[in-house]
Amino acid sequence: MLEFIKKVSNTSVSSLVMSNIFSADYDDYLIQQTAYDDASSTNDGTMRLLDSGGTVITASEYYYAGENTRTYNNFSESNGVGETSFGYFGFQDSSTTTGVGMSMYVFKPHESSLFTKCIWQAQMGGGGQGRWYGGSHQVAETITGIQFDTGSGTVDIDCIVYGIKGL
Amino acid sequence: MAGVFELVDEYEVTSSLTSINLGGGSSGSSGLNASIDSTYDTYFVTGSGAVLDGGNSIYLRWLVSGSEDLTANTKQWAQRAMYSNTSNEYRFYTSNYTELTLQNGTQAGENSAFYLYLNCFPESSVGSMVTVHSAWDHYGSPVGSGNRAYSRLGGAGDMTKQSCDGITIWSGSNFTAGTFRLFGLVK
Repeated sequence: MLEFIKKVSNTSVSSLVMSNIFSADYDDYLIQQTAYDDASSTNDGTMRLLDSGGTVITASEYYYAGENTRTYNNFSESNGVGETSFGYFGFQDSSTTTGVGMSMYVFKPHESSLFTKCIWQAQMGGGGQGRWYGGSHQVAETITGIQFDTGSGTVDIDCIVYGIKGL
Repeated sequence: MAGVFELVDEYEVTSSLTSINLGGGSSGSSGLNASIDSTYDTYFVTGSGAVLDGGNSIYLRWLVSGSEDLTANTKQWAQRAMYSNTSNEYRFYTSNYTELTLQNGTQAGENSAFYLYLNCFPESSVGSMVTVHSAWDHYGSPVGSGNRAYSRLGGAGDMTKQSCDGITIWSGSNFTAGTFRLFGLVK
């Protein structure tokens, strides 16, 4: 079953930090991004993890692969090897305010001996496309939170975190 | 309460084994004697921290009355195979299983995770359908070079009109760790 952990919201920000959302209470998590809109400039969102001390991990440790299902052209694909963040979250054009919806599963972030896995799906109004991605943070360490970044300009952003509860 | 996911079955790998049954009644790995049945229409599965002791893959088979359905050419699956280091590929087969991952890494820290939705399993008048989204660390080439993350997106179906009461998650290598859960979506 899903258990509500936290909702974090802010407006006109270039990043949103969600700290202390992962713990030994759950193995896996679902994160719903229910708002990512009103962009001040064209941007393409990214996501980073927070280490056991709550520090954002900016090292080249992010690996991911995915597909973009586009309304306006053939589908495309993107990937990353040794990147400084997971890419391809919310794309927003400053001329649109139609927002982004995103669901992401995070697997075993609190397990210090494993690489944390993230699997995300997003649909965005700006650019009219869906995104389907899987990634691995390839350093074994305890992860305690996440940070979304716009890369350029500001957005209004809401996120809700649920723990997936077992026995 | 309608709309809530309820835990139906769960298995935590504590000693090495080649397969985990979720549901399937007395054939289930947990000992909970849980089955996929008409209590729920839709089931949700998570697998996380799955570690193999060999550079192998993770597969799924359908359980009928607690036994693996090994009937040839009855399961059809098509998935987008997505690679961090090269172009994506289409991957599709007719067989008696479906892939969930392929060529898992075995270096320290490497593991697999996935979530699945299961629909139509209890019904005997239709097939049994699975949607797949997974991520794992690929073993690299040469083996052990690592630093690759792969992902799968797609589906698989048992095209036989029959009731399925569970799934088996299996590999040609041993699972040495992993947490596997089966949830039902309350009607």
